[in-house]
Amino acid sequence: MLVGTSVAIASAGRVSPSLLVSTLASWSWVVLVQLAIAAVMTRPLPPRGHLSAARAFDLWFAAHVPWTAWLLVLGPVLRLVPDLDVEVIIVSMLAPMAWTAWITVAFSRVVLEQSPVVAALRAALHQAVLLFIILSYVAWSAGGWFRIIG
Amino acid sequence: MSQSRLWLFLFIAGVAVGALPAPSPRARPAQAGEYVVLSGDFHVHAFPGDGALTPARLVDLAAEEGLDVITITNHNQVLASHILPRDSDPIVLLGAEVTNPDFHLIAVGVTDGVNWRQPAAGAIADIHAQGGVAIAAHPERQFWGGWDEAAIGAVDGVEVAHPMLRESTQAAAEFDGFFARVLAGNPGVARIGSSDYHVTHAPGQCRTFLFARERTRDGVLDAIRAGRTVAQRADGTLVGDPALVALVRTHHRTIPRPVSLLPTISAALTWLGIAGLMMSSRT
Repeated sequence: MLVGTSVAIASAGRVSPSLLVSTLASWSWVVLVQLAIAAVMTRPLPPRGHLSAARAFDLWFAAHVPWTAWLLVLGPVLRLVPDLDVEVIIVSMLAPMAWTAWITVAFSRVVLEQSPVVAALRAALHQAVLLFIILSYVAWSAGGWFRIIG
Repeated sequence: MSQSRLWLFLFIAGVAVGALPAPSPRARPAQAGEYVVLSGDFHVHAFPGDGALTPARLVDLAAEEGLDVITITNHNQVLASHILPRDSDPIVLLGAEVTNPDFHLIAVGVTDGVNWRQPAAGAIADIHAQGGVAIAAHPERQFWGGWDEAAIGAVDGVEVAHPMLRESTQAAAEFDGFFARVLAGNPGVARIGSSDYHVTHAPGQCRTFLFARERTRDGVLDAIRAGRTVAQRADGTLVGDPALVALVRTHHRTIPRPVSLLPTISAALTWLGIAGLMMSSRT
């Protein structure tokens, strides 16, 4: 819903039912990717069995606050500053990335009761996979990897 | 009313306001002698690709912007073109932006992808073989290397109006330099104005006026091939043969878009609603 709303505001300056349905449907793959990542990142559950998979899922999605806030701000910002440099947008992504990494470490440490080293490795892997997915879509949609790696 | 219901109400109200019809500058295409003056944007990106909106929503937006024809031109793929609505108004032509490290080339009126791993002249030949026209896209200096004499002699149009020109005088000089070079080797080349719409601004912010014999796909392609075009920059400047520019000024009724607060109200209400819902779900 958030992605659909932000995309509609940035691109059309308003949100109509047809715009919302269309942007929701077209960007729903992002939610599917999030679910797939969540399925991996919420495992293994702590051995003592006091945490259900559903609760772990819920806590994991609480870690999406940084990207939620970023997306929430991006829609109106792009509407108000339509010529915003893409470099500025890329740099602005560093904040949610760092914040998410920090939350991911905390999630692994506190919720999944992993060691600090394992928690750090999981966060690094999560960021790497996320970055690869984003860059892959950008490369495909921009015409090829040469647009990114020069 | 609980807080989350209030946010939901704002969200729904914003979507409802967004459904109200937007004032449109659209007018019936004007007749100029044997030609009908059409307004087109031949460089628009869609989802799936690096455009934000689906082809169907782009058609709605193009109609609101008073365009008669658009081309969906994603980079090196025609997937979005194949999910666009048939028999739409504005006319939608299938297309692609052939994206090579040394040149970007708009293919208008093609049904299949064009191999981008070849010289520009080869890509233009492929586009012509499919019955389409080829337009040099945003010809900044970094893309001049891909244009040899064969490509310059074969290209049908050059973008001389593009949002990039609003941002940089350097880009304007480079566009002018490239166009002068093409004009010397290909005097009939069409001047094209394109929005290169991805997410922000709107389709048609730069556009092409076409003197077409008929308001059809073939009529549009024929006008580009014959160079019967005038490009319009984002500031409204018209670029083209002075006689055609005069005809556009005389015949094309550019109706200023009425100011409406409805889109802003829709965006503000919806944004407040979704922001409130997100925050209340986390507390």
